[in-house]
Parts: sequence; structure tokens; C-alpha cells
Amino acid sequence: MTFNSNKLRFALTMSLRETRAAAGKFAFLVLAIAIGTGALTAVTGFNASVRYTLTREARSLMAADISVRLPLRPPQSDLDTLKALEAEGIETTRVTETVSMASVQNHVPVLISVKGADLAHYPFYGTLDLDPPKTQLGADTVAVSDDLLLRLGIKVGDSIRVGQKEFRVAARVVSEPDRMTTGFTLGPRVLFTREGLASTGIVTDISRVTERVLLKLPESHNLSVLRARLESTYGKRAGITDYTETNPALTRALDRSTRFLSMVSLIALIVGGLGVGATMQSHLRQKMTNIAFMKCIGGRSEHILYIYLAQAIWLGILGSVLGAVFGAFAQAMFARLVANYFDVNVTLIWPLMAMLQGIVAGLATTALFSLPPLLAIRSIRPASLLQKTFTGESTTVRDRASLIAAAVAITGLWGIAVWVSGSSAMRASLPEA
Amino acid sequence: MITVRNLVKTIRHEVHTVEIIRDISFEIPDRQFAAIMGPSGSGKSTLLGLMAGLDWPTSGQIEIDGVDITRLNEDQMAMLRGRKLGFVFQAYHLVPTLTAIENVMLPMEMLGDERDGAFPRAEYLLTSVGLHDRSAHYPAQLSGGEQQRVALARAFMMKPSILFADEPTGNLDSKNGAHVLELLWELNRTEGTTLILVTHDEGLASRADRRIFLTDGRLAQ
Repeated sequence: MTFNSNKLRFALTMSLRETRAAAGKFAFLVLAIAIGTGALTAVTGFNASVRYTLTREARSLMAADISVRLPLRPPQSDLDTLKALEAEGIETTRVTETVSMASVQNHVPVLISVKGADLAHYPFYGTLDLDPPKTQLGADTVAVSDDLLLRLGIKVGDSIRVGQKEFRVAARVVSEPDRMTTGFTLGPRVLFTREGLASTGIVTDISRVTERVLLKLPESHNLSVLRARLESTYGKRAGITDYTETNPALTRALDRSTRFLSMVSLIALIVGGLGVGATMQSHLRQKMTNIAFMKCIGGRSEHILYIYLAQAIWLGILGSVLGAVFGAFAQAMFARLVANYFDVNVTLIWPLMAMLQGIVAGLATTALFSLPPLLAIRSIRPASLLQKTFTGESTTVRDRASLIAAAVAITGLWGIAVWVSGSSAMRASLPEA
Repeated sequence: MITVRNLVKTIRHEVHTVEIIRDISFEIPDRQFAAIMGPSGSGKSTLLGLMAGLDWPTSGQIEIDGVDITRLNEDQMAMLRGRKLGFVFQAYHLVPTLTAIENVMLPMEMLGDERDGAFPRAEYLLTSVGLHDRSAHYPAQLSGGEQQRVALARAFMMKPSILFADEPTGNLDSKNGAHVLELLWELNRTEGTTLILVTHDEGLASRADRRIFLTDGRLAQ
């Protein structure tokens, strides 16, 4: 089969002329593909943006270069070992976290996430934002998150009881840099100074507390060497992470969510593809006499098929590109959603790979769902123009072509699903930056 | 020259086999106007379709300029139709999404050649049928007579050696029908085309060089 540039130009020109006359019908097709592609791009693009943010803001998200997590109240020797590092110019500070109850008069106590930190040093990176700004907490004051104010029906300046002591709420916690990396928290935040936390009496030898020691290295120190030293000292007693890991638990959860949402988006795309197939089928049914006439005046099935294939492809490209651009912007919705749960501002980037993936998936879906109706062009016979005197379509060809088209479509969709889910899985297995 | 020899066309309809064309033979010399006539169901359109290479006969031969078209495959047949044959149908069969001039250019664009020559040729033909000022109109914006005149212009676009017309005035009133036929004779004369026309119209057939009467798929004359 030969196909010169004139015929390609003719196919494109005819496809444009065909679309020009039925813009409304094809606007639906473009929209169907754009929605599916947009959803897919938004999900995978947001994953890329979060990863970019985690990499760029790694130190801030940990508030340190290295974090040594000691799950139980540590023996003094462990703390002394860390303290000894200060002689090498390494700064350290302790952050104690636990769970307790906060109460006010005439109100049911509320479960809270307690954090006690030395606010003269914490955080080493990033900023702890309080409202009013620059509030100095003391042994009798705390800063609390908005949700605690709401749940206890109090305001800044009121007092809450934690453990055996009353504390005045001096400020609201607007954001804390390592909130995202401290893992699951059970209630609203209440931030104490270390002295304040000690005075509550809730931290005892039998308390379930998490002790983190944050380390800030001078530039002369090698991060990996120090980390190896700490690991050999503490073995499995401590969870040691450094900022280059960007929180593996978080990225794993992110990838699992991305894979699930990608599959949901793919289903949206496939539903859009069904719309594409139905639109093309109805379009071609209306075009049967035109197609028969084109065959009558010398058009071969392949050449006519190229017209409608070109139409499906460029409408698919239009829908996919629109969807990919829409998806890139739609990430902002995810960012807003996540901002409600984590104190991190996700830096949204142009997720070029996610957009490319969305475009390829959208275009492939369009092509696959257009294929069965397009192949039916082969069975339209020019003799049908001469009314009822001729035998109709060649059912053998149509059936065989339909089977092939169905097989190609199913295989193609399976391939797209594997590709979309596989690419997320592959990212999950990549070493962190 | 068109030569038809022992032409037979049967179609299988479930368990029945229907013989539509029964052993027909005749010749139509170049530039002749032949009218195919006969009652409904006599096989006129089937014969036209077979001679135009739109379908294959069950047996027999059809030669166009010495080439037996019954031996051509689908692609070769399409090539022959595109290069040598022109068509006018009762239902016009204009492409509704194309303007009048785009419809006229279609046969030349379809074959992917002489693109630069398509537009002036189409303009010339539209002018010949009196529709130059309607070239940018879509079929839906044209009357039936105008649509058939556009179809006429389109049929002559590739300078066909044979023009097949299936009841070209069947959907038109007498005034428009007469106008279309006058244009058909005129174009046929200036382009030097062999004209094969299926019609019920005795008056029209009387102008033919040769009349072929069909009854039950057989030549009645």
C-alpha cells in the first residue's frame, strides 16, 4: 500500500472539514477524553509535585539533618552519647512527643498530641509559626492548634489543664516544619517548652513517649559517616533517618494512593473512551453513503479510513492535551486538600512526565475505542448507492475485523493499565533523592 | 468502447438464489449516449453498477477500452472508477460537510494528484453549471436542482471517458430536471464523454443514440 504526502494532506483536510460541520458532537468527544486525561495527570502530577517538594524541603520537613528516634524513654547513656557529639560542633536538641488529655471546666476532656521542645534550638531548619508571631513560650504557657480551640470552645489567653497543671494558651500553632514527618498523630497539637512538659507530670518512666533527638551538622561533617556511626552505636534501639530519605513511609503511602487514584482515573478515561467509540460509531453510520460515494469515485478503504482515523487522532490529541493542561492545574485541588492535614506547602511544578503519560494514555484510549467502528468502513460497499439491488456488507470481513479490533482494544487497555500502575510502582522502588 | 458479454448476476438471498441479470451481451461505442430502460426491478441499476465496476458479475465479461474489468481486484477497480468513470445519482450524494466547490474538487483530491489544478477546474465546472456564486454554500443551503448541478460538475471533474447516470432527474421537478439534462448534454458534448443513463423517461430516452430495454434481467431488444 502506497501513501504519498498528498493523500495524507487530503486525509487531514477532510477530517478538518468533517469536524467543522459537527463541532458540537466532537466537543463532547474532546471533553470526554479531557476529563479522563485530566484526572490521570492531576493524580500522577501531584505525586511528582509532592516528591519535588519533599526533595527540595527535605531539611525543613525533618527540621534537622539527622533525626534519632528513640521509641521508649531512653536510658541516660543514649542521651549522653548524643550530647557528646556537641563537642564535635554538632548541635542537638530533644523533642518529646506523647499523647495526653486536655481539659477545661465544664467540658469533656480532649485527646491531644503533646510536643515538648527546646524552642531556643528547635527547629534547626524551617520555621515554627505561631500566632501571635514571636510568642515566647514559658513553663506556664503553651501553643495549641486551631482544632483544639474549636473543640474546647476556648480562645488564646484562656487556660487548659494538662496533667496536673494549668497552662495559659499563649498562641496558636500555625505550622510546624516536621509535622508531616512525625507520622500519625492522635489529636490536636499542644506545644510545650521542655520545662512546661516536665511540670505536667505526664512523662514518667512508664509513659509511652517518643523521644527524638534532632542533629544539625556543621558543614565539615559528612552526613553518611555520622549516620553510620550512630547506627553502629544504637543498632535497632533507635530509628535513624536523615533528610535525604524524604520520609520513606510517606512516599510509599503517596505511591499507593497514586496507584489507586490512577486506576480510578483510568476508569474515567475508559468511560470517556466508550463515549468516543459510541460517537465515532454514530458519526460513521451517518456517513455511510458519503463513504460509499468516496469509494465509488476511486477512494480505497484505507484512504477513507485514514480520514476518520486522522479525525479521531487529532481530536484525541486535542482532548488529551487540554486534559493534561487541566490536570496540571487541577493538582492545586489536591494540594489544598493535603494542606488541611499536613503543615507543608506542596510546591506545584509542571509535571511534564505526568502530562506526557496522560496524553499518551488519552490518545491511546481514543485510538483503541475508535478502532472497531473505523474498521467497519472496510465493509461499506460502493454498490450500496444503487439502492437495494446489491448484496450488502461483507459479514465475514466485518466479523474478522471486529474480532481483531476487540482483541487489540482489550490488549491495549490492559497495556495502558499496566503502564499507569507500573510507573507508580517503579517510582516507589526508586532510591530516594 | 464498452463491451458486455454473456453477463450474469445472481444474488443469494437466504435459501433462494435470485437471477437479476440473465446472459446479456451488447456494445456501446465511444461518445455514444445509451439509455437503459425498463420497469422497476428489471435490473437497470444492477447493470449500471456492474458496468461501472461497483460490483462483480457472477459470470460474463465487461470490457472497457479493451480491459476486462471483471478480472480486476478491488483496488484496481477503484483506480479505474477514479480515473475513467464519472457518476451522477438520483439522490445527488453530495457530502454535506463540504461546500459546493469542495464537493466538486473531491474526486481529484481523493486521488491525491493535480491538487493545484483542482480549484480552477472546479471553478470552471461550477461556472459551467451556473453555480459559480454558490461555490461556498453547503448542500443544505442549495435547492435540489442546484445540488444535482453541483453533482454534475463533480462527475466531470476527472474528465471521465464514461459517465454513468442513475435517474439523474428522478428527484427533480420538470423545470429543474430539464435544466439539469440540458447541462448534462452540454457537458457531455464539450467533454466528449460516453453517457450511460438509467431512466424511466421515454422523452429523455428518445434523445439517446442507443436504447437498451431490460425485462426481468434480459435484453428486450
